[in-house]
Amino acid sequence: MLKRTYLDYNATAPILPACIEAMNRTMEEVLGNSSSVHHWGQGTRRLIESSRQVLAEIVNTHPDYVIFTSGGTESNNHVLRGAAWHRVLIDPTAHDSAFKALECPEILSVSKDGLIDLSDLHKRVADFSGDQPVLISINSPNNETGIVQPIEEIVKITRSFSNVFVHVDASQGLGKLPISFRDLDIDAMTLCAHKMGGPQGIGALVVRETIPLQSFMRGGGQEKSRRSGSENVAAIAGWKAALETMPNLEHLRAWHHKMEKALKAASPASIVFGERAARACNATNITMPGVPNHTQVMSLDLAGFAVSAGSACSSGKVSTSRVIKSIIPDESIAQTALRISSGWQTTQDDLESFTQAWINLFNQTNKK
Amino acid sequence: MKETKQIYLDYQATTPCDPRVVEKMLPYLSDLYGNAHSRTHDHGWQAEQAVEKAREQVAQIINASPKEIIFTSGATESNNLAIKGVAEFYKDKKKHIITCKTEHKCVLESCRWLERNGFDITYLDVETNGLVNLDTLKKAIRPDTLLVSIMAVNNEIGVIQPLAEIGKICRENGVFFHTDAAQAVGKIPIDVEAMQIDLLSISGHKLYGPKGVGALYVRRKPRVRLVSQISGGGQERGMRSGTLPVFLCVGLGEACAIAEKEMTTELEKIQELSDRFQAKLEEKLPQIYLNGDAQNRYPGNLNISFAHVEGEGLMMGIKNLSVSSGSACTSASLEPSYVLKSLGVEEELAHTSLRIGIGRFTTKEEVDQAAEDIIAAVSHLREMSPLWEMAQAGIDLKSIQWSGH
Repeated sequence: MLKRTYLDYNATAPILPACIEAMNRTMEEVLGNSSSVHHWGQGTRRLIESSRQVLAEIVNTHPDYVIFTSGGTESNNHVLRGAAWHRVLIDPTAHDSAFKALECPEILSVSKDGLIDLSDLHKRVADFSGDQPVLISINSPNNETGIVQPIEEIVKITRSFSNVFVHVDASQGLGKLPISFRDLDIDAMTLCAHKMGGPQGIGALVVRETIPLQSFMRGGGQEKSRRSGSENVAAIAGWKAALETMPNLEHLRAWHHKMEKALKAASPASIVFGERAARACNATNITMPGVPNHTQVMSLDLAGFAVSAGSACSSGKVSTSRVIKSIIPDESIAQTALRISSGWQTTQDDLESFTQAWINLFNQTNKK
Repeated sequence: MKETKQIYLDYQATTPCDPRVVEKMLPYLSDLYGNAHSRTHDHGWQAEQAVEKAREQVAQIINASPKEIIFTSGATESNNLAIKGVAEFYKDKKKHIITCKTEHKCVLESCRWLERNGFDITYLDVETNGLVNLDTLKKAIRPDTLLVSIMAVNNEIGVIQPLAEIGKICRENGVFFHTDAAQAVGKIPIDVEAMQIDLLSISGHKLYGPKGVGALYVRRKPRVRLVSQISGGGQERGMRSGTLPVFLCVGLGEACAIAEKEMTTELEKIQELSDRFQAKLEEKLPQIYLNGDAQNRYPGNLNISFAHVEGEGLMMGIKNLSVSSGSACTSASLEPSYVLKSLGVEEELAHTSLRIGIGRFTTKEEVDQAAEDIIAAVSHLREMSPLWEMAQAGIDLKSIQWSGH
């Protein structure tokens, strides 16, 4: 039987065992709407608050700043659409859930390394006079390339101007790099559970009270009136367990490095996006010259490897990635880019056999 | 004091997740963890298949087509999307929306938000039985009326609005009809075709499914269009972006399938328990009032006011019963329910109201125990109450001039 190897963790990660157990327990035993005053309601409430506490500690912020949402997409939409922003400056490598939240945001520039062009950012912010609120939204680490943006430097630029707020979409960050909301000194941050081994359907938005955000989902006034709707208790409890048992993934860095080296040795013309930039430990985005990425994903799937040509949402039809094209604006290069993302279940052997499969495919297609 | 088991009678706040639903969800937490939108590998395809099966199950219970079902994070989101999404799409053509005063907060809040953004909203009064008056509704419709949003089953008092009649009026007038059916789907038969419903909100955790998932039915013929409130990857045909939580969708689908299969027998059982409970109370306690229409109601929701007892004292006296004094969202506040106020229930009486929710897992023993406990608590409080004594003596309490101290 064909061995199946999952290397699409940035689309969604397998769920950690402790998380499954916690969710199972919650669904079977914990009953009650967390807003209800009675016995059961209060048990549910405690469960939610302890999860909030754990999440807040991991990203170094105050629990009051944490709003539970239905996921990264909702969190991003909440920040971008939940206030009357005068201007919104967006990372061209942002996820669609931020990039498409507004009809026409101002698009920042990135370098060939995929990093935000700081002088361009400075110029745009400095050009602006007035005290109406401006939002800068940055995706870091990047879902398609793993590139980590220089958030500290971006914040430094904006701090000399009043009413400029910084949002970081850190959906891919948990478990892959240390995150400190406090030290980054940002105003809003998106977090997502299912990219790190937690369940799908739950995420969070961390917001400082100074950010002029309105409630986005209106209703019963849950989450201190910032996000209405009965809380997704099982998923919240599961996320807590996932956060508490989340293994360190730093060892993946060396394996990815080794893989990239081998792939480039076999195909010297291949481009690794963000090769010289800081990157998360678990992602590689590399081109296979001359081979369209839809051919790559299909052939590799037949060989038992689950990889992707870009973000899962838009991978329904395999088209060229906007993110990749914003880094290197060349359709023919973007067409050949493949994302390999690993996680807590990945072994060194997985990446080594993938390396072999990729090289085999490359050699086959180049022989023709 | 004797040790008593906690009895759950708050099925309108949330229902336990049916073990059969949990069982169906579990594989999608462990082995089948794919992203349903990954079209390039097997993990993704399996997840997608599971989601599409769930979509069919949801569609079936309301007689819709799977293509008309959008998964959301719950009924709050569905209601927000239906009302704000439709309003945003058609705002240049029509700017009037009709709803009613007893709607769930997420409907009312969505309307208020639109009001602040240039829409005109009519909040219909309800009759003392909690039902919308159809003539009043007809009269409220204007040439620029875009949408009527009236809930199916009220979450606080359980009354069922005349959906088919409202649907007919809306269709005749070229107005969209949205119904918040969070408390109705899986409990009473709902048919979007027969009732001419254009948009319908569903909640997972009110029909023995998981929390964190819901659905919105959006009619395709004649087509209803809306602007997505959460955009991004363009999932759910562009109407709702975000990675679908596969296990939650599967859970909602299974919950619908079970409910559809068992609705008739379950409704009979709940009716029986409900009648039994009500009869026991009425036998022992004078001056208690069932809020909302006695006939047009879902029997699993009994909202009862107990004259001449003090509300908080009553709640303290029945601590082993998990019941609610209003909707969960607002029950932490001590404000009297706006729903009961809309029915014209006096404030004092509204303060003494309990919502007793009877559901799939409620037993005859639990209902008997609950009735016994409530009877004991109410009788005890009344014995201590000078007001009760006066009322018994035939004094009209309203005629008394209270002196201030």
